[in-house]
This record gives sequence, structure tokens and C-alpha cells, in this order.
Amino acid sequence: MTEPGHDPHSTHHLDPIRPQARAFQGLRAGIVTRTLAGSIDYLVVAGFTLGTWVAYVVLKFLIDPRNFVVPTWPFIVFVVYGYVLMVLYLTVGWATSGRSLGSRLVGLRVVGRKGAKLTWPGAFVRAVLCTLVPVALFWCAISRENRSLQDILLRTSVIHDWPVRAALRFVDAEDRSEL
Amino acid sequence: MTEDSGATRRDDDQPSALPVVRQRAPRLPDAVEAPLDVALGAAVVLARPAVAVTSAVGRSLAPVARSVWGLVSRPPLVPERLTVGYAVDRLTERGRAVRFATGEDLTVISDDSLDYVVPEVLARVLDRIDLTQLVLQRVDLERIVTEVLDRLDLTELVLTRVDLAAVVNTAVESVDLNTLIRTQVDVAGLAEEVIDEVDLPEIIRDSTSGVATVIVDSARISAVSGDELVNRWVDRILQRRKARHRDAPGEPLSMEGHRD
Repeated sequence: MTEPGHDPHSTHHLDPIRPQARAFQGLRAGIVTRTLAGSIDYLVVAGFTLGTWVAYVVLKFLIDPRNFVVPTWPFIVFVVYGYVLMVLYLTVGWATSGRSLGSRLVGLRVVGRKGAKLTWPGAFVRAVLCTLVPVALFWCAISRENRSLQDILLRTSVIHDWPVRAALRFVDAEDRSEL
Repeated sequence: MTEDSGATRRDDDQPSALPVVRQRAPRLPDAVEAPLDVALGAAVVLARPAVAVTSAVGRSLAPVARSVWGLVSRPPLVPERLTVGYAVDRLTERGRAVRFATGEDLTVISDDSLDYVVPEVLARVLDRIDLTQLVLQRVDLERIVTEVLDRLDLTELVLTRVDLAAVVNTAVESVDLNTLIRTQVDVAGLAEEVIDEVDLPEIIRDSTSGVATVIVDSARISAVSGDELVNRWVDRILQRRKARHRDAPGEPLSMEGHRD
């Protein structure tokens, strides 16, 4: 690997990301990928909301099986609970790794104005805006900079940044350290 | 023929064509040998004229003797059966018959004797010579070996008569292959060549991420293609001529150390 005249980038460099995906890493994502990520996030939150209700039902049955009746929550409860969950879920995701589950799967990351991770307040505000006005996302199809209205307001960006497997990142770093 | 024999021969120190092993019998003492030789010489000198005179006399008297013997053996007027000559002829025939019969027996006897004598003689002859040395001196061994090798199919002989598997196994067991390979083979160079030939990153990607990752990667790339398609259409509708400014500040985590 360290032989003179040998270029480690050419053959031995362990790149876990496909060459064709290298080209758009770091660029702002478009409407399709972001909608896909958002849809996955909605599915996750919806599943969690429904799961909460199921857990409540099961718990109620276990506590008092004789008088058990399937509880019915008003739809507004689901909506409010779902919205609150969504805000929490997005805030935690963006403030910690910059990714929600949907973003991780699609390979996106939310960054601040200087490319850094969002702060907790910044993440919370963005989560609230995105949850309340999800349609504003579609502005990124029109924006010259692929930015949604929330991005423009908070000066954030959603970029392509495929998560790299931890093991390969380790090998990758070791490979680079030999240069 | 053995080393002892060779040693004995060297002790004799006799310049002989045949490498003699055993010493000869001791000679007669000089005091006896010299008079004996004189006596033998005198006898030969005297005997020759005597023999010559006797032969001359015999030759001259032979015709007379034959005539006298003819008259005595078959006198005239005497019946044949009663003559001395008849009796002598009969005895001659009888004797000849006996001699022939005895001759055949003698042949048989001589064969038996040879069976006994020849090995004994041969053993004594061989005791007296260093056969190995003799062969080395007198025999063209190189020519013999060449002739033998020309007649033999040595490869076939080895294949049929030699247990090659045992030979190879013994050789392999006696050799430390690990050390041999480490010292004789450029393992590092070999590994470099193999790695250069193989697309290692692709293999690691495939083996570590599996089918699920391949699907996810493909889906991501498809989504990005979808982005570009939508962007292109929107830009066309809005009649934009400049490309979108998609560069974001900072560096993505996936690009760390990958920008050349």
C-alpha cells in the first residue's frame, strides 16, 4: 500500500459509496428524494401513533378484561398526538445526527447555514414548521437552490449525504492514515 | 573381493596383471633346487641322443619285424583258428569293446568330477584375485552402462517399479513448505498482484452490505434521477436558462477524505 509510485486512491481505497453516487454527495436534494424521505417519516410516526393506541388497548384489556370494551379515540386525538410525535421525532433526529429515519434511508441530511448540524432550538423550530406546513416542502421543486420554504426561512439545507457503514468508515480512515 | 582381500593384495606389493590375493607356496631351498636343476639338465641332454638312436634303429628294423611277426602269427598250413594271429585279433576286438564301454563310463565320471572340481577351483581362483579391482581395470564399465541404458526404457521402469507416491510423500514431509514458500516466494508481491487484479472495493461492498443495501442504493439513485427529471421540467416551464445552484455549505460526512 505504501510502495512508492503506488496510488492508493486508484485500486485499494475502500469506498463504500458507489462511484455514480459520489457525484451528488453534498448537493441539495430535490423534491422526489425529500418527498420520499418525508413519506417514510410520516409512515413511521403514523405507525407509532397507531402502536400507541394498540398498546393502550392491550393494557386496558390486561387490567380489566371483564369490562373490556375497545376504546375509541376521537380522530383529533390521533392527529394532535401524531403532530406532537412528529415534532419530537424530527427535532431529535435533526439535532443529533441531522437525519430522521426517512432521511437516513434515502441518504439525506439536514444542515445549518454553514453546513453544520442544527442546534436543538433550530431543529425544533424547523420540525414545527415542517409538521404544520408540509406543503411548503414542494417549494424546493421551484426554488433555484432546491430549498423548501422552511429552508429559506431558517437558512437550512437538505443535502445528499449517504450514511457510511461504521466498519467501512473505520477501514476507510485507516486507509487514509497510511497516506 | 572384499576389503580384506584388497588389503592383503596391497601387502604383497606385487606388480601383477592379476591382483593376486594369496601368497604362493614357499619355494624349495636353494641348496636343493640348484643340484636338482643340474640333474634335470643333464638328463635332458643325455636322453635326447638315446631317443634318437632308438628311433632310427626301430625304423630300420620295422619291416623285418613285421615280416617275422606275420610268419609267426599265421604259420602256413596251420588252421586259422589255431594261429596266434587269430587269438591276438580276438583279444584286440574284445579289448576295444571294453575300452569303448569304459570310455563312456569315464565321460560320465568326468562330468561328476567336474561338478565337484569346478566350483572348488573357481572358489580358489576367486580367492586369489580381487575381482572388483579386476573388473574396474579391465572392463569398460561406461560402455556397459551406456548399452544397458540404451536397451532399457528407464521412465517406464521407474513408473512401474518405483512407488512414486511414497517418494513424493517422503520428500514433502521432509521439506518445510511454509519456510520454503516464505523464503522463495515473494508473497507480498503476489498478494499485491492479486489485489490489483481484483476489484476489492466492489467485493467488500457486495459482501458487507448485501442485497438489501444494493436495493436501497438503487432506490436512492432512482430518486435522484427523479429529482433531476422534475428539476429539468420545472426549469423548462419557468424558462430558466441557468443551472440550479445546488451546492450547500460544508462538507458531507460521506465525502470526508474523498475530495482529491
